[in-house]
Amino acid sequence: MGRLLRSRAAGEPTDRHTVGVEALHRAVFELSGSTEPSVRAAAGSGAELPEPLGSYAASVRDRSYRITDTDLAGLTAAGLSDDAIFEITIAAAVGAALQRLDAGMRAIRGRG
Amino acid sequence: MRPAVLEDGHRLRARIFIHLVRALSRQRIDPVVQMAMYRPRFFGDPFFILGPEVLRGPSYWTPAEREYLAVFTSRLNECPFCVRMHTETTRVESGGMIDVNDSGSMRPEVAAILPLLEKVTRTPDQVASADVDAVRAAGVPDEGIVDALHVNLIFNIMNRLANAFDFSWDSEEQVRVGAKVIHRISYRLPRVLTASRT
Repeated sequence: MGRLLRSRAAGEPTDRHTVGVEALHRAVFELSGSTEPSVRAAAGSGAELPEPLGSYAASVRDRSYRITDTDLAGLTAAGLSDDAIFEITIAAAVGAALQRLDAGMRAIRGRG
Repeated sequence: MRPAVLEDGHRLRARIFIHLVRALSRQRIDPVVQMAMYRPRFFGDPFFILGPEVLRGPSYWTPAEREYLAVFTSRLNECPFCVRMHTETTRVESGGMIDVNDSGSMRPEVAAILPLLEKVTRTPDQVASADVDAVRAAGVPDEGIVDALHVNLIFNIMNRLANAFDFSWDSEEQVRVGAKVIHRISYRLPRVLTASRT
């Protein structure tokens, strides 16, 4: 997703949502919170995380329809606060979505 | 909705708004709005700036077509919560002209963008220039392809959040009221609800 954000030239018709996307990216991945930005980055990209966090982030990215109360209870039992769960969930969802946008934008630019 | 902090952890101005909506509309507030008002600086504020721009701002696609693209992505991501609302918003925004189950009710350009959106959503690693060329060949300009990818972005985010946070609708009436509100305000929440803490 970093590549996406860096590769856009300003002023092209295809760039009209760039500012909004970058603002969302900064908020989710760079602001201070209950979790370290590095943990949120891993949740968004699929890099390794300790369990049960890693499995949960993967579920959000790849099969969110299977997430149950039991999954969240497992995170709580592992010591994660509601705020940490909130942040990790959003980071995983936004990371997965930006990865997909990046794939589409690269194909438009002929680099797919 | 889960975790519990999304039900009862809001700051005062959001709590007041949640109660006001319930009192005036006799419906629970839209879960997406309720979630967005929790620690808005982290997600809700930037999301509710980008979302209205993508879904109702200048675009190659009509608002109704964008609502249909929302349904399409939400089906791929198996998000019944978003499918239900955006089926209704497609009906409202198209004046009943677009049937989400009948591709013949849409411009051919809409059908032409769907294979790309499906590939981007399901197998992003396999998306290639040829997939975009096929959409261009159907007459969709690059601007339209970019616009559709951003609708896809919004719902690739929200489908995952709705599933993980267990969003649900109480009734068909809540969906109908919600779609009317979306139509009236074009997804634009009052900034006071999502603006950062001072």
